[in-house]
Amino acid sequence: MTAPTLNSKSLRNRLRFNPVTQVCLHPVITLVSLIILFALIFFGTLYQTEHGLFEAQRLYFGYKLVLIGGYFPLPAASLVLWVMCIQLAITMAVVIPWKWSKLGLWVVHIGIMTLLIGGFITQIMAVESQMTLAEGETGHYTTAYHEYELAFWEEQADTNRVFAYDDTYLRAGQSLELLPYHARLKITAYYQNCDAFNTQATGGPKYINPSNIGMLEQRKPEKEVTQNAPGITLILTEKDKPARDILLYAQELQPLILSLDGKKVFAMLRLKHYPLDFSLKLTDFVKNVHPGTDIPSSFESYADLIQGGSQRPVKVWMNNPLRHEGYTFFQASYAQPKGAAEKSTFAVVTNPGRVLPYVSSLVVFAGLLLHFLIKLIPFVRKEAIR
Amino acid sequence: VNVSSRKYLLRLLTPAFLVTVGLAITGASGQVMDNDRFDSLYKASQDASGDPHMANPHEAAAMPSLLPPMGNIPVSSLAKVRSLEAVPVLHEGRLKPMITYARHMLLQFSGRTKYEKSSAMQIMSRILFTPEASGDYKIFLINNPEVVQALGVPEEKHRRYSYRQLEKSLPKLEELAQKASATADDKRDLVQKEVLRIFGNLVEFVNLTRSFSFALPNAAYTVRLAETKSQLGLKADQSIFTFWDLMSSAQSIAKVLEGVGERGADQRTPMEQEIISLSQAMYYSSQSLHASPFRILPAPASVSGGGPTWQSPAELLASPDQLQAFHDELTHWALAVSAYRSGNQADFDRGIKGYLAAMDNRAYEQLSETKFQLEILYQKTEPFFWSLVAYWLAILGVFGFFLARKTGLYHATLYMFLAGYLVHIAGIVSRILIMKRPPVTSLYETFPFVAAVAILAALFIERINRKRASAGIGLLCASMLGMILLSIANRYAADGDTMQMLVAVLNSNFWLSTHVVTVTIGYSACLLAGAIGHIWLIRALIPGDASKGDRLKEISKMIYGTLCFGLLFSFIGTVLGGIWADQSWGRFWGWDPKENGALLIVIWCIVLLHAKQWGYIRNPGLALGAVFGAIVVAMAWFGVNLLNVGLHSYGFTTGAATKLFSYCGGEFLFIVLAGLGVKLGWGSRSK
Repeated sequence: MTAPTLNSKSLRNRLRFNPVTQVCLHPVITLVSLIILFALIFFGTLYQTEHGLFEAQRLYFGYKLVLIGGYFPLPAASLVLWVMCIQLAITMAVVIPWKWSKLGLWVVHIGIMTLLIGGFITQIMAVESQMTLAEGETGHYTTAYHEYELAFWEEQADTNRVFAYDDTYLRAGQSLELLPYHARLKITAYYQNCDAFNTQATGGPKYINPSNIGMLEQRKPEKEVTQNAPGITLILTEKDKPARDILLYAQELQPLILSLDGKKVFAMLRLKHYPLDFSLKLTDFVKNVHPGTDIPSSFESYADLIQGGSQRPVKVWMNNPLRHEGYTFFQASYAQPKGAAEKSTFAVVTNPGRVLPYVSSLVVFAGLLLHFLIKLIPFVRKEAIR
Repeated sequence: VNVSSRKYLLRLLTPAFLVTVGLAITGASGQVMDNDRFDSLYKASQDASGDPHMANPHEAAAMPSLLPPMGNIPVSSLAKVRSLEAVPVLHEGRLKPMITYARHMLLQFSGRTKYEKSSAMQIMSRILFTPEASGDYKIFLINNPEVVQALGVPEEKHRRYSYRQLEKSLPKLEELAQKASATADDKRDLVQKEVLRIFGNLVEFVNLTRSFSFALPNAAYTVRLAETKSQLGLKADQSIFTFWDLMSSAQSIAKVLEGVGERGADQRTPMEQEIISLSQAMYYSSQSLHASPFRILPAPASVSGGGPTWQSPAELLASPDQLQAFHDELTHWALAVSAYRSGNQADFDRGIKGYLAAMDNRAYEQLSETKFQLEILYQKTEPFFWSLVAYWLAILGVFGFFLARKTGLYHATLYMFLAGYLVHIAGIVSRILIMKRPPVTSLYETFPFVAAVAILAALFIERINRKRASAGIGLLCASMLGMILLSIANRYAADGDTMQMLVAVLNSNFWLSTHVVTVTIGYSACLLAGAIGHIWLIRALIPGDASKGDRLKEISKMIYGTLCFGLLFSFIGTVLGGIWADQSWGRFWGWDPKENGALLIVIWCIVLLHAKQWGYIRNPGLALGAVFGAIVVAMAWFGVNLLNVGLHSYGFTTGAATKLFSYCGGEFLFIVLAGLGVKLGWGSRSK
């Protein structure tokens, strides 16, 4: 008797005709998923016009159920994509035949898989932020578009010893430790969007605030999430000292100065900062227009990239970003204030998966072309004979 | 004459100098008319016209007579203005031949490229050279009857009004325009937009009429005394002169003024008095003539700040040193204008030729970048119009062939169609060469290009099926798509010059030629599949003979193949768009409506192809799906521009929205009825 050998073809076949696989691979699931995706994109796009991109993305392209038109429930896009991703993986594992004539299909499906994986990596790992510099100014960090942080630091240069909680921690009732200063924070209110007033709420606590803000009033979040102005009120307690009521508002320009643990500490509710290992100094911003018009033909930022002791000039312009240490700086916006230095805004992105869409597109393209040719050539030959 | 005295003489030539002397003598104040009144409106009409460099309409303040009065001498005009066609004009950031400019302006004013039997060039020449006679041309289109009523103008059948008809209502129009300009852009209603558009057009018209004021006879330059004429070397038999006539006598004027300065007012001779008044009039004109949009002279670096900016003759007059620098060009123009007004063709052509020769020297580098001869040919031949005609005829031919089944008719139709198609391709290629950029850079350009690609694919299908039962189907689709898409293009062309400069982010030939071209090829294929889908359904619903089944099978194969092709290009185009977005904005995908639209096409193609492959739909389902696919393409193509969000919302008009919705509604109805018909077996009876 010979020992049984692992026959990959028969294993594939057995797996393929396994009832569970059959259910998972049912073409109806694929078609329905695609149609749901179609509907989600269509209605998500319409929703975007009313409620803004951020909200549409959160609802329609996330992981929960979404009620189309308020009534009709559909799974959100990420869920659907996962279902399709699993189906695709199983299809590749057990269905597509190992034949030269199916080479195109193989390549296409590998490409789509890479695209989905790339999308997933981007979804969880990409960080988008921005940096605005006036001519002559040097930037050491980038700021988030709409995520805030409650930051405490000792020096004005904020790269020095910053202790911060990002806005996922900022909820009414939440207690937070301020470890470096042996103090404790208790959040009494956190508003995603609010107005600030100099008057004091009757019967309310008297807040310490650098801009003499006495009261916050909650507002409905804006359509564009970047337009929200959050605010926070909290109680700061230190051992053997009376508690202090503090109010911070995101639109304040000056930090609050506190004495904590015998040190001078700055506190601010600000857009989240991402420190860089290098710095960028904007030397010049240039906007060119088509002659005799105001139609811009190009925007260009000239900067010095400073790292360690070395420095080199760089140029960032439309469609030509600066790439350095995994960061990509794009020319995103500008300001030409009267009587002040010009400002340039860069969109800054780190995305470990950024190469995957490139790879996958090439692969899918090659696959589709291959498949198309494999099908077309015999057809054309047959026609020629006719 | 030594160098320093020549310099001195040159200085004397300036009207500013003349008037300084003149004013010193007469003690008159050099007050120039107050022109602030139109500033805010000017801004508003600029916003409305989208041309930030439209001329300042200060002069329009002197209502009600904004055009020069008809003089005693009747003005003539020339019918042959060919020599003007290649005059370079800087407009909307691009140097274009005058023929393009003239057609653009007439389209902007009237929505047409002709007025009665006159070409745009003839109308533009009359506006420029005989402004007093141009007030009666009914060239101002008012789309909205409410605006006509508000202005109190008697309604015209063809919705086009002359300047003189509207002139009386200018104060009212100004008031309405002021209100409209005070309203935020997105809050303006249709009437307000129309008011601003018309006001902008009138302002631009008036400014155009002033482009050559320096060469037009003006009552302010009336010379009565024979002695003055002889002193200044002016023609004895003429009494009204032009600014430029007097400029040519500037040295004599300066000489007289210098002598007069040392004597008191009572000691001046009548001739001296007359020359003083003339010099004052010249100064006033030079200071109150404002920019006209007719920019035909390159500004020296000292004026343009180093950049290549061009200016109109009217702009030059205000600045003495430029008047010097462009002396030759202005003299040529003065000759041409005067010849035009007196009907002297030879002198007119000589003047323009002289100017062009001078320009060839002065702006050699900039002009060598242009392709004026090709552009003039493109403008004159109107290739897309003639293709459209050929496609219409081809549709008739194909239907004739379906009825008669005559091979001769088939071939005649095919060759005529191909001739039209060649002209169509020539049009696209000319645009590529003229603008030195890929074929698709604006919404307008998508139409001829998508049509060209769809036609090519349809012709390929026709070639395969030419000897089968379904011969003629590909040709019908090709001519239908060509006709529909070029008709839409024609509508869009009515907005003005279709060769516009690109904003910074689009200013990349690499991405325009990859992403935009592939994605539009995808559109073409899906539209073609939709067109063939229509034919399948209509064919299925009409009773036929025994070969009907085979024909339908063949048509289904065409749909399937075209969808595969469409999927390939839509997918690649979408992904390339993602890569461009990653390169310029830092994200591969941003759920922007246009991106989503392209993705919808891709998903729909995948759904259809897989559903057919797996047997969930049969041929009727595929045909219905392909028709729905055409709706998806239409929504992705222009529908997203309706949403007014995202980075791709450009070039959409309110009227187009209604048409788009009507199209989609009509198609849905067709899908429902055809689906029902197929289900119920209509047309299944054999003849």
